[in-house]
Amino acid sequence: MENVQAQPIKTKKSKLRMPYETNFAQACILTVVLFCLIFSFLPLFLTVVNAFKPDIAVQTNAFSLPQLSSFLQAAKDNFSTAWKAIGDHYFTTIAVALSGAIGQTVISAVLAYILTFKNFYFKDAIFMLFIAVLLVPSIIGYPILLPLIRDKFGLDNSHFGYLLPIVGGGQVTGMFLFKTFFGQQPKSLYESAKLDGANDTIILIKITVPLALPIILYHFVGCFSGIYNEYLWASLLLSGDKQTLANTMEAAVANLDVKYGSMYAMYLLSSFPLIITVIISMKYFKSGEFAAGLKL
Amino acid sequence: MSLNVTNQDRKNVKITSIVFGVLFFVFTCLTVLFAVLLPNTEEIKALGENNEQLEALIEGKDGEDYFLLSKESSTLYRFETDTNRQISTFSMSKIADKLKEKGDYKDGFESRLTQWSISCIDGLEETYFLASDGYGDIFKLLDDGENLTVTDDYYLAPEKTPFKALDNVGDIVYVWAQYRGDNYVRKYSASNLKGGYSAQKMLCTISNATEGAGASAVTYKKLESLQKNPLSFNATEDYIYIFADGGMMLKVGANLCDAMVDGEAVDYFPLAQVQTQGFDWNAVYAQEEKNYFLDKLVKKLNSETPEYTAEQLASADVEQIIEWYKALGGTVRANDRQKAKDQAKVEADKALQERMPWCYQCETDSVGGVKAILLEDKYLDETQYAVAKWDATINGAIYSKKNQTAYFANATDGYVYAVEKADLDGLHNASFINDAAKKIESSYCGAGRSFSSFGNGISNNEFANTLFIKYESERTISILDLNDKDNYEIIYTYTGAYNAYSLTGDADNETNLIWRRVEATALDGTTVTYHYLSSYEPVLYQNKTLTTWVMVICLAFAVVSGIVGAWMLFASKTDVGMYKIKCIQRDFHKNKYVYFALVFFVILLIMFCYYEAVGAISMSFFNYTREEPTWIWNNFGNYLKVFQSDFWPSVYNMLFFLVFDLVLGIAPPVIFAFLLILIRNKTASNWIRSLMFIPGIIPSMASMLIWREGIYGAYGIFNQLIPGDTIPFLSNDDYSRWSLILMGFPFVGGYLIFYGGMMNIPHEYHEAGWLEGLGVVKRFLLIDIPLIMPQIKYIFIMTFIGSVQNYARTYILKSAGTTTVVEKMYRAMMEEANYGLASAYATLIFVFLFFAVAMNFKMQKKDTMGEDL
Repeated sequence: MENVQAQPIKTKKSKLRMPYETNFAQACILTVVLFCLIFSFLPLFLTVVNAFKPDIAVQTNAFSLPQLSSFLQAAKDNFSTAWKAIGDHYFTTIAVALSGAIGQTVISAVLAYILTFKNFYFKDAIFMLFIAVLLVPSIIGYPILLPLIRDKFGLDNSHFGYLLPIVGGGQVTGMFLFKTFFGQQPKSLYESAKLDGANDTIILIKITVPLALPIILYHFVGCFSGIYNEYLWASLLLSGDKQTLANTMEAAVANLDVKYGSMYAMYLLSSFPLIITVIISMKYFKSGEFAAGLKL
Repeated sequence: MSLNVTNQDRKNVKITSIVFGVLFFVFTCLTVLFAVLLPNTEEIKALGENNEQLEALIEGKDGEDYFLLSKESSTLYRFETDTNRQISTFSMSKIADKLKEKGDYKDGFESRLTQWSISCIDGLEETYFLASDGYGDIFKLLDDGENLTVTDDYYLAPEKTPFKALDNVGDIVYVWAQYRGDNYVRKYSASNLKGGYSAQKMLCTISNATEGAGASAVTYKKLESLQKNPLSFNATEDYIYIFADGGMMLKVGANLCDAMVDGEAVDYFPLAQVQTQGFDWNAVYAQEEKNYFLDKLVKKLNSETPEYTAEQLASADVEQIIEWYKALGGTVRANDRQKAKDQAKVEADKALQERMPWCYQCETDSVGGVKAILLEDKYLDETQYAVAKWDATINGAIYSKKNQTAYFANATDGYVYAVEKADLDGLHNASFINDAAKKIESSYCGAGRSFSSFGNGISNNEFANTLFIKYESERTISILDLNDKDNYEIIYTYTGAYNAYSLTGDADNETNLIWRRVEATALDGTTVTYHYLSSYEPVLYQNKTLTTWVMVICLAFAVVSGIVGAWMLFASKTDVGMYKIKCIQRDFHKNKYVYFALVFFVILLIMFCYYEAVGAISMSFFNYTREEPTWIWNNFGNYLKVFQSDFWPSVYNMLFFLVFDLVLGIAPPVIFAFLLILIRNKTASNWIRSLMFIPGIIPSMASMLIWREGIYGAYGIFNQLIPGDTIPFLSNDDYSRWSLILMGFPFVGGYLIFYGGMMNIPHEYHEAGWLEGLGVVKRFLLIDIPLIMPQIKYIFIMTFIGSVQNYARTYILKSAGTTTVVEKMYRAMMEEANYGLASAYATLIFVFLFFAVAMNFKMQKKDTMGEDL
């Protein structure tokens, strides 16, 4: 059954030659696609190029390539200024985003497992209770959430308090996504596992998760970059040296701590943690297969 | 277990429902019990109805009653402490009546009756209150236990010296006045304002030694500390302590005031100028000079027939005397005049010395009657007079007469410090109070909080012997028990919804009164002040949070057991109901672990989703800001404010961005995905798809900042490429909207989900379509798009929700004229800290999104009927 989705791709190439398969048509298509590709790279290109240039070169021509003569000095200046602005918050933010993403993914997976494979009387009601939350925009809760975390829980300016609602409230999206995919897994596997005496924990770890690994990674990567990029909630709860990277960067630019070259160096530094997410994405999602079962 | 319904089952169900009924009853009772046990923050009187400003909370004798003063209507409200019942009112206008009766009334006197300073004085046979007005007049009010009456004994100030505070030691009343930046300490006799000390008027006036005549000579005595704001004024038998801003303390020996007898007011003290009110040095001098010649004249007159009457002689000045003397044949030489002057000075100084024995170096001043004097050494003793200070930021200070200890709230480290009287008395000029202070370890109030405002208010409840400390935007108070000197203890900490302004308590240590003032903005934009006086029971408050939680849990259990019991009772009447009950029973038995596990998730869900949503919607109807977190109903004021503040332009902007986001979030990615599908060379397609991930390494914040600074900015690439003046892409209304739309060009980032969907469309469909004569465009429209509809719908809803909630785009890019509803909400929350207003915006967004998404789901349900979610 798992081959069903992939089957059409693997069918032999049709003998028919479609009109778009002519060389001219293909060239046209490739041109358009490459145009889009190149423009998508614009912000990244600007970042990489300008991070290694002295300020004056950035101001006059942002497209010019770094000069060999000034490359080392400019890189040293820019990156040291940038690191001074965000260095204190760099690894903390990564750790916070990582733990948040792990917590959210694990909780979502367990919840999705229960709601997919367990049959109980109030299943639909409880599922609706969770799903109804999707209609509520997360932003509306902050005026209440802030006093709850800060005053009632006494977790002002703490990373734990910061992650609590992210993990607790974020379980729904993940559960919804996972449930769609768990439901497509072959039932026979589960039945045989149960016959062999596996309990729910073993089934979840040894069957469900490996089978749904791409979508779990997709969600994990999304969570990680979501928390890594989070701005509003962090700006409400956190301050000082607990502040996360997005807010620190915004403040550094606003206070003119970083300018021109060092500004781009700062963006480049902040990009490194996301390289790993991009590598995971490339490995698992390039084919787009994960989106095939997507339903709302 | 079989599903056949037997009579035994019916019986069991009935018994179970009765059990639930009993549980319901028990939990309801428990809820009520805990609700009663909850320390009630009794609202004693909301004096806001007349919009009166209450400015002080005054304790009556022995704390049996207390007074609230409305300065606007000059009325004193009297309450009984035990019951918080209003007993009587006293109108200050009665004082004017008294003055009229006594004939001391002057026009415009009412204007003096505004700034009141009132204090109960103890230690006398009867209970009196001293009230001073904004001018410095002082009145004695007799308290008969119920009403106050104005007595005949009052003192009218000759010049304006508004009083700040009163304190008394037995009969001696010290009054602290501030006027034109100067501080004065004055002394009165409580039993006889008019006839006692007050007959001599001001006995002791200490004021700032400002730069200038007299003061500059002895700089070390400058009272610079008192140019700051005073915190507390305390009189004891031997010293008067004045605590001022910045941790300064001025200590004045009480006998220093005693030294100044008989009506001399010292303006600059201790090296000071004396306005000798009962003693005119120049007059004495003139008299003495005259006497010199008068003696001679009288001698001559005695030998002749009397030509001048006694009256004439008394009223004549020295020149006249000399003239008469010359007329009688006497001779006056130049050195006679000088001799008279010298002698007169000696005599006048001698007289001054007699009148003011503490003055030992007096100098004449060119202005009549004013002298610069220097006190005798014994009065300059530092034990009598000293200015000490803290090497820390002190926000609050108070002296407890009962404990003979001063307490300081140190905002540098968040602790309260105690200094005993003996240590205070030992302080010298320029010594540090820190050295004598004892840190109260248990008083730390800074945990996880900022204590920069720590101790902005500090107040001592003498009867209960507790200390109230306010901090954190003045809405958190802690109460410190001062009874055990070796073991101080914070009795409770309470973060209230109101600003605590003034604090007191009654004698039996059960109730502490907290007067709270709340300012709220009314619909028409005016500020309304509400006043609440609440009584708190500190002992119960220690467990307030726990009690509340237990109560809430009991309530939840009561509701659940009530519903379940009632339903069971109802359902057991029919066979279908019995069947359902049996099903559920079996299900609970079988899946108990599942339900057990789900509790964890549901609690998280309720705590972080439902609680917020319900709370925000409720909060939008109340006044609630960070500074004043009050749940005061404001008659839809938040919503009115929303609609009055350029709401529709922001809705327009929101819809504008929404339309473009939806179009650009779906059309370009779908086309791009389709083009990728069309690429014949799979390696090329593979590479392109891999490369498309790479721009994603830039965090969204960085990406937005790149667009703001690097692309649209003054030195951004657009302004570099386009010659001419700098184009304000973001700060100009004409461009900003389109600039924001253009962000993210070429908009193909979200193609992957569509690509995945299209790739799974069986190739045979396309072949069949081609055979039917469908071109590429028609195939795209008729085969691919319909088949990736689930993906398109998913992206549609996600983009819809995301776009409406996207405050960051307009906020971070600082674009002009593009304010959206959600950005307004963000600003209300972050910049105004007005959570009520922000909730109103949030609720409107929620209503909009709810209807939009619900409609969408409904439409979709029709399409995908029969399919699982």
